[in-house]
Amino acid sequence: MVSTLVVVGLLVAAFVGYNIGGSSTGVAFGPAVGSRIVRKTTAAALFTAFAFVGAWTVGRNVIDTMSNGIVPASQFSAVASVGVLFFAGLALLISNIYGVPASTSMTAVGAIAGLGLATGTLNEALMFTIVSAWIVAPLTGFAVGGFIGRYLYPHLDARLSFGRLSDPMIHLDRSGTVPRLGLNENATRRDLVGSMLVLLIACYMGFSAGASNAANAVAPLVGNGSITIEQGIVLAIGAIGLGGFTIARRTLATVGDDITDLPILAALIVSLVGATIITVLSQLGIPASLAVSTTCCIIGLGWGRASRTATLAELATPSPPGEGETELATGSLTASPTAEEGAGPTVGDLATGEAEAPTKPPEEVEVPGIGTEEPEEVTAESLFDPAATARIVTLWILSPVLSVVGSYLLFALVL
Amino acid sequence: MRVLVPMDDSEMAERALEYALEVYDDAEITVLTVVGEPSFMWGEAASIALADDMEAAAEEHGQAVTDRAGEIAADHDAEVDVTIRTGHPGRAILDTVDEYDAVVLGSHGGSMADRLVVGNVAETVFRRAPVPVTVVR
Repeated sequence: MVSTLVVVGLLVAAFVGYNIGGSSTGVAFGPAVGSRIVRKTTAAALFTAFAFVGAWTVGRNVIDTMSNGIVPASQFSAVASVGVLFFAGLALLISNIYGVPASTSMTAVGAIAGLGLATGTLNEALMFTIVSAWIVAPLTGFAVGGFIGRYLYPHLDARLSFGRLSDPMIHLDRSGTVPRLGLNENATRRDLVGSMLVLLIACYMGFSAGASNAANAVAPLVGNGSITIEQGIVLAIGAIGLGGFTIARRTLATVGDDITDLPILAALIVSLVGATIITVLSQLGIPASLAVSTTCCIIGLGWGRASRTATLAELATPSPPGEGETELATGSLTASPTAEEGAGPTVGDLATGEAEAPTKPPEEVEVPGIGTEEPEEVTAESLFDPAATARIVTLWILSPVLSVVGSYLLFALVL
Repeated sequence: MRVLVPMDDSEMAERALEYALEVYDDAEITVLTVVGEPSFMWGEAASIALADDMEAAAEEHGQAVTDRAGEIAADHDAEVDVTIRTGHPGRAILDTVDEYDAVVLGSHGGSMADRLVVGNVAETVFRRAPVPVTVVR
């Protein structure tokens, strides 16, 4: 009976890892795949490799915390392990079905905390530290993003430019007997540097995702001694890699699609900040959500940049009232892609080739029967709607809370 | 009579415009599209916020929908005004609805995830707009 439960535990752990691989590959490699630096298969291979390095090194600290920190390892009976993993898997299943990025780390910690509350063995001091980190980390992401957006982004944007590639920058050369990695020979040096930067940061994100997420799949099994920490890491990354090669094809298109709207430079900044926050927390043994920190950095970056533009525009353009409005109305009538001149291509543009689309002749665009009202001024407040932000934050909080309650009820009443 | 037709890139929105053009054939029709709406990772909103010219970026994002609206209007030998707003679709629609005598919109558009973040737009407008609302399905 016990050995059956161990097998069930391993299967549930693999299922959790599989789903983590599916969603994390999209977040980490969305920009790299979107700008055609690598193909999806190469992305999955790189993600798996760097996630493994992250889990093997920094990730051990997180596995320690979750397998013998929040509750003592002795609490992870075979049944309890399956119960905890069940909640992590359920949260991931729901989030993958609805395309909602729920945090695996927060959900898994919530399930373990529920077990701790039900058995009276919760390490409250450690739990307080973890929850504090969940509040501080996103705020840090927001603050760093806001600072960069307000003071540095235009300067970075002027100095760095990223081109579009027609062929992947790195490809698998299968012409020989052994497949080799090959570089695209047609790329310019500047493109090469930019692409390498995108790829490097994607790998860094993969590293941080592995460090933070491996524990979610296997910590209870490591805790009860079914497997060693090394076996756990191999199992977790194996499952995560499998997810990266299979369902990530879908999440690269859905979860990654959201990030794909960002200019490449912005995607690089938020990835770098998000991955650094998660790597530091993992080093400290604290599980936290990569997606939440990255999202807060995106809001900070956009909000900081938008608020700066408004201030500068007021100061720098003492044009007579009404002039700006006329300009806007013309812009929407002629509809030429020249509007995006000066702004770097987004990841999505690069993929679809929009950035290089020829300017349409005006007569083709001026559809008969269209008139235009002057659009309202675009503000940071309208773009980052406080009520919608509150809804998203509520969803972030909801999954760990449900996980604590569900797990507590399961362990207190049923088991 | 002035009629507001809020549109996204869904087929339901196109049907709403066609319905409005047929039923209110002598009315002044305005198509409203909202860009940079909230999403889980805020990709589109941030991409507009990061542009040098946010108004131009917003118009660029709304271009596909306004072009389509123009084509549909041309098919009906009619004229429509188009206007682009940013942010939360429900709020953006309710902000402008006072200037119109009626609203015609599609019953749904967007995925489950979109609805979790912004809610059901048609329902929000239907409940809170002070003018008659027609929901086309």
